[in-house]
Order: sequence, then structure tokens, then C-alpha cells
Amino acid sequence: MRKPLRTYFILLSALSLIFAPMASAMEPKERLAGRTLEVMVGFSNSGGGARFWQVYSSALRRALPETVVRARFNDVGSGAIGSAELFRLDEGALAVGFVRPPDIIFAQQQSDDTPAFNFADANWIAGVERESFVMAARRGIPLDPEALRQSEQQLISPVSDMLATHATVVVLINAITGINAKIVVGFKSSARLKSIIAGDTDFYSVAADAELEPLLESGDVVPLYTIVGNNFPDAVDTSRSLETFLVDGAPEAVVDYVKVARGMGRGFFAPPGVNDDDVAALRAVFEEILTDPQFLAEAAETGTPVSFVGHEEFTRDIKKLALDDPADSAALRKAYACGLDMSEGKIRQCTF
Amino acid sequence: MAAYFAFLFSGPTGLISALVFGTAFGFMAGIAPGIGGRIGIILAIPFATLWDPLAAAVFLFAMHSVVHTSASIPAIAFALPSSGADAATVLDGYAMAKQGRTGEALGASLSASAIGGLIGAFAFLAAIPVARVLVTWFGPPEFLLLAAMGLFMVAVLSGRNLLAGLLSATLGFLAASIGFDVMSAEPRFTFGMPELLKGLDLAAVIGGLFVMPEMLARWQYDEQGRQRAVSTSLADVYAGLLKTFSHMRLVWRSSLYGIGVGVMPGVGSSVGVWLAYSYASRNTKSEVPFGKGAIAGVIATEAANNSKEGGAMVPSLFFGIPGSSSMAIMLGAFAVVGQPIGPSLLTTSIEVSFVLAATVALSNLIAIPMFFAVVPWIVRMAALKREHIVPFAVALALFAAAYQYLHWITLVQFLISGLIGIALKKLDWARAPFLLGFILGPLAETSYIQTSQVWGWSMFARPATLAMLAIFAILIFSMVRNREFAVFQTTREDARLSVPMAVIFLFAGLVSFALPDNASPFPLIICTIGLALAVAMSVAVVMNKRPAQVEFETFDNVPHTIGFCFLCIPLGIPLASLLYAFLLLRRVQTSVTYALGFSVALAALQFWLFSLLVDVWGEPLIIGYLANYLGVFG
Repeated sequence: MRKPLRTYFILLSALSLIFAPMASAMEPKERLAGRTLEVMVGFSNSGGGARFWQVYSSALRRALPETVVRARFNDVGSGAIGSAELFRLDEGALAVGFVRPPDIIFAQQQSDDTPAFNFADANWIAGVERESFVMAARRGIPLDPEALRQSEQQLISPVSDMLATHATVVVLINAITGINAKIVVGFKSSARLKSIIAGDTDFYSVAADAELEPLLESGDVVPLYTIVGNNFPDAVDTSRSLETFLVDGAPEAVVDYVKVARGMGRGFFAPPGVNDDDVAALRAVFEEILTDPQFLAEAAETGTPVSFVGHEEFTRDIKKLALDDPADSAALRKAYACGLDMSEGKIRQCTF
Repeated sequence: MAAYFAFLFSGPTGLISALVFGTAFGFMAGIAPGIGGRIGIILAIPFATLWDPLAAAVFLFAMHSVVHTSASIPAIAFALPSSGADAATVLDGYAMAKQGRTGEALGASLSASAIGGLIGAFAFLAAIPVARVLVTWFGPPEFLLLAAMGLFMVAVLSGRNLLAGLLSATLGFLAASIGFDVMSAEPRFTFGMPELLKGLDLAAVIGGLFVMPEMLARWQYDEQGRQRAVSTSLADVYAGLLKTFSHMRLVWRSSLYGIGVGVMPGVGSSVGVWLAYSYASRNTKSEVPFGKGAIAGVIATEAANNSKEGGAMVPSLFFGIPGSSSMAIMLGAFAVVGQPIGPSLLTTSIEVSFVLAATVALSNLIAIPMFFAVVPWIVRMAALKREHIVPFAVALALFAAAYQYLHWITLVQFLISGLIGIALKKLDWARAPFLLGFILGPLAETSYIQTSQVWGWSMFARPATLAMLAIFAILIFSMVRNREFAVFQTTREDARLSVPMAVIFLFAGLVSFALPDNASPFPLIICTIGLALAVAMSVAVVMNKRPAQVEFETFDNVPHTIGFCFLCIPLGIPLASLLYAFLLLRRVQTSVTYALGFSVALAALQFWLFSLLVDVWGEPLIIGYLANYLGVFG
């Protein structure tokens, strides 16, 4: 090869190496341009949920100006019906769902009916929330697990309703820690905290965020143990974790389930009908949107916590929740039933 | 365009625009025959969603704060009150109008309303420190008692007999128990329909229950009143406005009556106004006897009417227990626009309380120049026939419901609630207890669960619970002593509702038996109470055998309205609204041009509001299932 030609070839290769990633970064948006992206959202048309969604929808419309983003609302059963509809879409469709998977997956696992869809078959695009959770308790509660198990009066854990993930988690924690709490519904998030501070109830699972930090520091709320995550305030003694409160023989699958379900927030998925190239394009575009500083600033302004979770990590967590092994699934069902019985005072301990 | 829209509807300019537009909307709602405060809030919901949650709340509150101010126009000119509270104004206001003193009465009502509203706003602010202390004492047992007290009071005070009011409230409770049970996550009364899992749609129930009966009820047109209204001069209004200032003592006293009664959950509708009127008639010297055109009668009622909102805001906003039926609707509207309420308004979100208090004060002040600027034209609006407004009000109420949940099940809920509302109104049964039961149902159920599981009998060791019980007992004792309610004052016609209700409660009770243990107690309690009340009423009817002493209302256009609701499914809401409005306007001899123009404008407004929310071309309920099936819009 002659020298000028070789120089030209090397230069061309170098330029290709430099610009190729940029070219492929442009490609996803071009691939989606001019098409209608159906977004199934588990909120009603108006109200707080819709306004939460508007933070995302305005960022989506900004990033995909030529893509028609058609949001279709479905606020029944935390998006389960909407998800089923998306799973029925034909090959070649372009659609994503925005759901909180633990709620739906758990409801499917508890049902005797065959589920209309399996989230493990979905193409996960990205997760949007990841927080650290602690079991927060009232002032003066014993910190020793054995003392809590031996408590003469049944301890009380406040939850909003039995469908919420935090309620599912507390029922399962009943079973695997042997601390048999009576689970009482009707406490929204601020009421849960108020009841703990007032000493009317004993403990509940909560995000260890900036709102909780001053209460932990003042001692109005006591961190009993960490449940999941790595980002805790200084007042939290991380040596006391869920693992240190477990009873002997607590099934590992249930423990993993509790940690994944509690730590996981909402996520976007594409149903199986969306082809692989479109899924790849969606993943690239959504990563760009969800890490965009302007979007993060808008979300912070509205008090919406956003933490990007990549599709590989999110898919891994979904598989942990899906519990494909029948033995693990049976263990979960048994633990939940047992935790409920403990709450209702029918039994004091679960046997695994 | 988008930037202009954002500028107008968000941030500080959004708060100001919400205040101004809300005041203007309230003015129109007060004047439009049959609309008034409660229906006005329902119709305002879709417009409120244009703003951010706080500004939307400002829009709704501004609207509600002045609605009684302008509602005095039809009350004075036509003897047409839009609510029980405005009815007191009719006594002397209409008498003054017949004497040719319409302007004087309007001016007096305007200034008395504004001052009463200001006093109410300051009373609300003054209540914040007290409420901050109370809220730390209040827990689920107190909320349970407060809900029970509110419900009992509204059942007692809003109907012609206690049994009917309690039955209406119990039916509201039963309606609230449809959907997922919070305790067991089991579906209740959904009959396999997933669309009902989240419970009935609040906007559909409120819209059907109030808008449809009010709009479809027949009324008489007063031509003489129209003449009086259009001949009102601004000079007369100004003279009347100044006369209020010579009755300041009465204004203060009446406002305090309004505030005091407004604070009491479930009582804060018209009782305060009538108490103020009663006080004025006993303690104020007047050249003209009360009831024959005494200006003090107008001043007392209007001051109390606007000040009571400040009082009613206290239990409604801080505790979530509505102080009146209009506040119950307001809380529903707040849920729709996403503005949280509750104890946080006393602590972390206290600025919301200040903004809402300022809204009440400022909207009452803005109302004065607005009134003068538009009075020559606005009194003509009061002369509109209700038939001209019916299709717009019904179509916008249905639209408000669909705006919240765009699904055919919403239309069915709206229609069924409307038919229940018509049945209740026809037999003069109060609808407010139904609404309060529906709104307070979930709160009462969760409070009951929490109280029984966390405290049990030890709730009676709580000082706040004992104090509440004492207040409750004193109130009931004083009402029984004063014979403020009749328990068995039934007529033969009451059986038309009590018997079907007995069947409904019996059926629902049998279904409740099949529910899981944790999901069944509350519906069973409701059904047992409802069945007992319905049977007691039916027995009382048989024992009394009295013919009706009240003149039952007649309703027009009911089949047309039912047809309209069904037609929305194949044709879509905007097109069906267009046809419905055109048909009803033509039935009252409106010219083809006007009927077509207004109908198209209504459909276009709905279409535009929907387009702000969703991609209208992909929604079958907007373009119609027929067009969607045929693929007309691709």
C-alpha cells in the first residue's frame, strides 16, 4: 500500500472509530422519528398521579419531538390491566408501559388464575427509582430481635392498604423475622410517620431519605434495621440489617424477594410485540432522557425522586421477583399466608 | 403558544390568573339559573386542571367564595335561590325588588357578602393555631367520631325527616364500599368488572347526583322579575352598597353566626344563615318589617352566607371532614386536581393555607369592581331561561367525569347517579347525606379498623375522644330538646324509595356474607343499618298512610338525557353533546343559528380540553366507538 493511501486509510479508520459511536447514538431517535409511541401509564387522567407522569411525559416529548407520544391512562389495579393489553399487541407495535412491577407480580403470584402475562417475558427499558429502606420504629422500642419476638403485647405496623408493596413486605418480614406485628391499614405515608412519633404504632418500612434524617438524628424515630440499599444517613447503624433479624431457616428466596420488592420502584417496559431493534432504540433514548440534567432538575422541583437503573440490572431484579422456581414460589406463598396469620394473632411463629 | 400557555397557567402568574378567572367563573355560576355553588364546582373541575394543583385550588376557591355573592341576583330579582343558604335572602330581597328597590338590595347584598367573606377568611387564619393543637390530639378514634357526627348532623338538618336523611347517608356509605377493600385487598361488589376495582368515580357520582336533578327539574319563568332585573341602575346599587356600613354591628354578628356554624362538620350549609336572619329579625330596628323588604334581612343573610365558607374551610381542609355539602364536593374536586389536604396544611404546607385564605379575601374584594363593571349586562344573564343552560351544564358535568377517567363505565356511573339523584329530589329526600356518606365512607372505614385494632376499648381513655363524645352528646340533646328533627314524618310516596332500598341493602348484605372475613364487616354493618332503617321507614309509611304534603317536583328531558349518555359511546362525547345541546335548545324555540352555534362551541370546547390531556384521535370515547371501528380517523 502506498504511503499516502495508507495514511488516508488510517485517518479514515480513526475518524470512523471516533464518529461511529456518535452515529449510533443518533440512530435510535431517527429510528423512532415520525412514529406513534403508545405509553400505558398506571394513573388517572388528572390528579397527583397524572402530574407525576407529566414530569416524564414532557421530557419524553422533548427528546422525541417527531415521535407522537400517546399516553394511555389506566389506573385500575396498578396498571395490571393496561399491561395485559400491551402484551396482546401484535408484532411490530411500538409501545411501552410504565408500572411498579412488584405490586403486579405479587398479585399474580397470589392469584390462583393463570396470569395473562409474565413480566419476565417483557423487554425492560429502564428503572426510574432506587432508594435505601430501613425499618423505622418508635422511640423506646427494644432493639434486640429476641426481645421483640417475646413482646407480650402484639406490636403494630401501620400500612396504607394491603395491595401496597410496603404492606406485602411487612407481612413477609413478619414471617421471616418472627416478630409478629399486627398490620393495620389506613395509614397514608404522613399518617404512618405521625403514628410512629406519637407512639401509637411500633414500626414500618420507610425510605431513608432527607425527610427522615432529622427525625433519626433527634431520636423521634429509631432505625431498627436496614432492609435494602447502601445510602443511609449517619444515624443508621448499618450493622443491624434485615439479615441479623432473620429466624433460622428463613427461605433465602423470600429474603431476596423482600429486598428486591422494597428497593424497586417504577420501570418502563416494552411488551414482547416490540421488535428487538425498536427495543434497543427505546433503551438508548430512555437512558438519554432519564439521565438528562434538565429532566432531573424538573423532577427535583416537583419532589419526584428519580434514580436511573439500567435495563440489565432491572431485568435481573425482575427475574428475582418472578420466582420461576416452583419451590421458591411456594415458599413465598407460604410465608405470606403465615405472616398474615401472625398479624391476625392466629399463630406466633412460622415454621419453615 | 405553549410558552404563553405555561406563563398564564403556572407559577405566580398562574395563581393570579386562577384568582381572576375563578372569581369570574364563580360570578357566572351564581347568576346562571340553577347552577350555584355545588354544581359550579363540578363544572369548574375540567377548567381547574389547566393550572398547577395549588393554582387549581385557588381557581376553585375563588369561584366558590363569590358564587353566593352573585347568586343573590336571581334570589333577589326572581326569588330563585340556588341553595338553602340563598333562600334566606329571598325573604326580604325579593320583597324589596317587588317594591322597585332591586338595585338597593343588590348593593347591600354585595357589600355584606364581601365583608362577610373577609371576616370568614380572617377567622380561618385565626383558627390555624387552634387547629395545630387539635390535630396533634386527633387520631383515628376522633376522626371516626367526627365523621359520624358530621354525617348525623347533615342527615338531621338537610331533609324533612331523619330516617330519609340517614337512609340516604347509608346508601352513600354502601356506594363507597365498592372496589378493593383496604384491609384484605379483596374486590367488593365489583361483580367481576375490573373497571370497578378502584371504586366509583367521584366526579361521576357528584355530577350525576347534583347536576342532573337540578337541571332537569321543571321551573317557572318570571317575566316580571326579568323586567325588574334589566331596569336596575348602578346608582341604586351604589346606594345599597353604602347602607351596609350603617349596619356593621349586624354584619359582624351575622358573620360570627356563619363562621361558628360553618366550623361544625356537616352543619355548615344554611343553618348559620337562618340563625343570622333570626338574630337580625329579633334584634334589629327596621322601618320595614322583616319579610316585607327590610334591608337588614338581606345584609344579615349575605354576611353569614359568605363568612360561613371561612368556618367550613377549617374541618374540611385541616381534617378532611367536609363542613358542608359544597365543601364535600370541593374536597372531591381537590382530589381530582391533585391538591393534597389534611394536617400537613398546618405544618409543612402551611403556605397553602395562607394562599387559600388570601384567595377567599381577595376574590371577595375583586367581586365588588367586577360586579359594578358588569352589572348592567350580568343581570340580563340572570334572566336566561334554565332550559338554555340545561344541555351545557349536563354535558359539561358528564365531561368533567370522563375527564377524570375516560372509560364508558364512567358514563354508566354518571347516569345511575343521576337517576338516583332524581329519585331522591323528586321525593324531597336530601342528597347531601348520600354525598357525605360516599366521601366519608373510606375515612370512616379505615378509622374504624384502626381504632378497633390499635386502641379497642382503650379509645375511651383518650381525652380527645371523651371531649368529642361530650360535644356530640350535648348537640344531640339540644336538638332533641328543641325538636329540630322529625323521625317518622313520612308520606305514602316515601315507600317508593324505602322499599327498593330495603331490597338493595338485603341483596348487598347477602353478597357481603360471601366476602372474606376481613372484607365483610364494614359492608355488613352498613347493610344491616340500611336494612333496618328502610324497614322502619316502610313500616312508618304503612302506619301513617298520610298523603304527600309536599309538592313533588316534575322533571323534563329525562329520556333525552339518558339517550345522550348512551349516545356518547358510539358517537363520542363531543359529537353527542353537540346533538344533545342542539336538540334541547331547539325544543325551547332557540333559533337554528343560535342553537347550532352554541352546540358547536360546546363540542369544540370539550374537544380542545380533551386535546390538552390525551391524543384525541386515539380515544374511542372522544371520536366515538363507531368512528374508531370504521377507522375514520386512521
